[in-house]
Amino acid sequence: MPAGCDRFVGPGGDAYADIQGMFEAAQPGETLCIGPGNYRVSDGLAIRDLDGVTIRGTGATRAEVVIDFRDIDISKGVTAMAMTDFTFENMTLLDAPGDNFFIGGSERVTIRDVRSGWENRTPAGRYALYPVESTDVLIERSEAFGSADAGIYVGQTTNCIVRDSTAVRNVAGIEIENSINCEVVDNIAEDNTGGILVFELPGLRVHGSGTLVQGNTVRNNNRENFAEEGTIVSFVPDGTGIMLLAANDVELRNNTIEDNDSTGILAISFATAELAGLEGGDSDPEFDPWAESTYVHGNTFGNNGTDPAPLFITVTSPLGIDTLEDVIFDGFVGPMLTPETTFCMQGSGTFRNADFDAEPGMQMSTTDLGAHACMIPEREPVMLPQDRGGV
Amino acid sequence: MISPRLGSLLAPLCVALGTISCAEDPGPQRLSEWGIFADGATQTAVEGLVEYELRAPLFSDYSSKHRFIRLPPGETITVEDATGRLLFPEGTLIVKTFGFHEDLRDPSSPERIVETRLLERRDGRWLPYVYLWDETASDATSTRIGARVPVTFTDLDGEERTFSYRVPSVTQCGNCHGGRDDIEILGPRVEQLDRDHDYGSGPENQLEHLVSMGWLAAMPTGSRTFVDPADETAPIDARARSYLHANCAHCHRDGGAADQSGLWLDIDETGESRLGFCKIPAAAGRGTGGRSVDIWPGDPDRSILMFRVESDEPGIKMPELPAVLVHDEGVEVLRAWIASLPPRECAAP
Repeated sequence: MPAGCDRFVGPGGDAYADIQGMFEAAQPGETLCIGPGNYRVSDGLAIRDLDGVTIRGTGATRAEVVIDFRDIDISKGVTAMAMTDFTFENMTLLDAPGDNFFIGGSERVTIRDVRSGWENRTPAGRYALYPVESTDVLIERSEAFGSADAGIYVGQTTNCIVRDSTAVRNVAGIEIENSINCEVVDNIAEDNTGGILVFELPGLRVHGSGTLVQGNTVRNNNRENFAEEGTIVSFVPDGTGIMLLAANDVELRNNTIEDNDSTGILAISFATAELAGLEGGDSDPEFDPWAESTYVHGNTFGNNGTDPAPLFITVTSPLGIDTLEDVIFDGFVGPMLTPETTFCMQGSGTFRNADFDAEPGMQMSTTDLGAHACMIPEREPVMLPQDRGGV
Repeated sequence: MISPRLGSLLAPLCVALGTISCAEDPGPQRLSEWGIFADGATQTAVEGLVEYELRAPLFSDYSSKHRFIRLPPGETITVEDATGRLLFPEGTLIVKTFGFHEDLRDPSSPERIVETRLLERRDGRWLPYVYLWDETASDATSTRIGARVPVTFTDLDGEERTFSYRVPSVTQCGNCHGGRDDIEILGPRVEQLDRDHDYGSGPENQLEHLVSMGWLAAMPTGSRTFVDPADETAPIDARARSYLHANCAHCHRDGGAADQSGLWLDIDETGESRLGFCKIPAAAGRGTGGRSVDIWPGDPDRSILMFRVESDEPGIKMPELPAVLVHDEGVEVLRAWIASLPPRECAAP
């Protein structure tokens, strides 16, 4: 058994029986190791209610330990629930029918050096890395690819960091949804429909706020949207670098945002999404549809908005233009809010205060920042108990 | 065969050797060690086990169910008045056996006994065990990782069906019974037990029987209406809500494995949005089937819920556990219920 492992599974046996058997036998505090090899499991894997467990691939790289879910007839590849101080590292996860790796109701979760996505399944599954309803989640040095929804998705979670990771060829590269106090830092989001999303949706048990998106490279997110109709991300316009939907207290700083054909940053309230056909905003009386306190500053933009998706036609057509700016804000200022408490921008980047539902001849669209040339105090980096700082 | 005590003694050795062949305290390796069945093939329990049925049972791929409760001598069940939930004493054993009749149209056709699941109340928690019966149902062997069992039966339309039945892993037990929280029993609650069962001398109300045995102090009353979803004389709303509770709410409830969806289908839920009326999905993926809301009142074919319960395709199908087959009769109840709801325009103004 490799050093540092309490239990070990190698290739060559019944992959499901060997790995699930190890999970069933696991005791608190143990490190469960999977040796280099391909593990084409016959059923979904599950682990639950354990403290201090690490699941580790022992290859020199994550490419050496591959768990292949193409044969399973249940939605999720790995289901981890009610875990505490849980680490999952150095592996590749492929091709589950639904989600490759679901983590629910867990505390202090670290996903490190994991590559997860879809290679041999059409249509692809939903989420590659999917922690939800958890506390203190760290995803670092990981990669998500090919998801028909979000590659890296953190939902209804308090305190999270997505760092030094890569999201490519997904509908949504990285999505933070209804989460509290999160940081998306130093990632690469490339060749998705939308690179990085911060969404607040109705009907969920957690109401989110506070996301810091900094130091990311958000490039060439022009992939044609291939999400199933009816899903939230099916409304994400092709060519969107970063999209904020009804999100509160979001700071976007020091990102490099380039070659996104619709726009670099799209910041809208739920009301604008409803214009595009998204429903349900009024079904949840506790839902706040208005975006509040968005601060865009210090970002580097290049070559965005050169070929906006059809969804923007209500913006471009009345003006007779065929390109858009680096930053599109829908102009909605919610009740009890002011322009300065809704959206502020500093530094480089072209801007448009768009008017998505203009009456004919009443187009209020403007590229003038006006009162939005304001400042909002910067957010502090997120601190997680298990995090020793970036690498 | 490893006895429970020997298993405990061996556990540190297992860890030291790093072997996965002997799980920590896996419980009795043979079901017979629990001493609960006089005859496995007929599911004849020994004295002290009380069989029970539910008004609204969980659909498990058309399997037959045999359910039993064993209480330690002298102990009683308490009723949580506000909810109708039953609180069982330390040492309680809940037993559920799954089998398949050769012909679903004929309850007297030969029955193949496949697996028995136990929940044991110990140290204030429910511990799950899963046992797989041998061919002749002479005894069953513990499995922690579950199993797939090829099963053939003749369905209600007279068609022969063959499929791969899923015996769950012990962890999967927890995913339904526990979710984010501790493992709980799902079936037995006051309203679910409030029905007749033949204990050998004709039909008798189960709750009255438990009172007469001294297991319940007094005849309890529940807070909700459960009916048999197959009972066509019952109101469609009660049939559907009972069905949703029994078949969906193990995950779709506060604290359940799918509570992040915001779709809570337990019978105690009263919020229309929580129940899915005009509710957009959070993470349905291909499960939307191109539809925009979970339940479109009045229109089953615009409801994501119908699309998912009518599918047997992994990633789309609901529920994810336990069944792999579509429950045609359940689908019809849900379809009739959604169609009966006062029509509403879900789309945004």
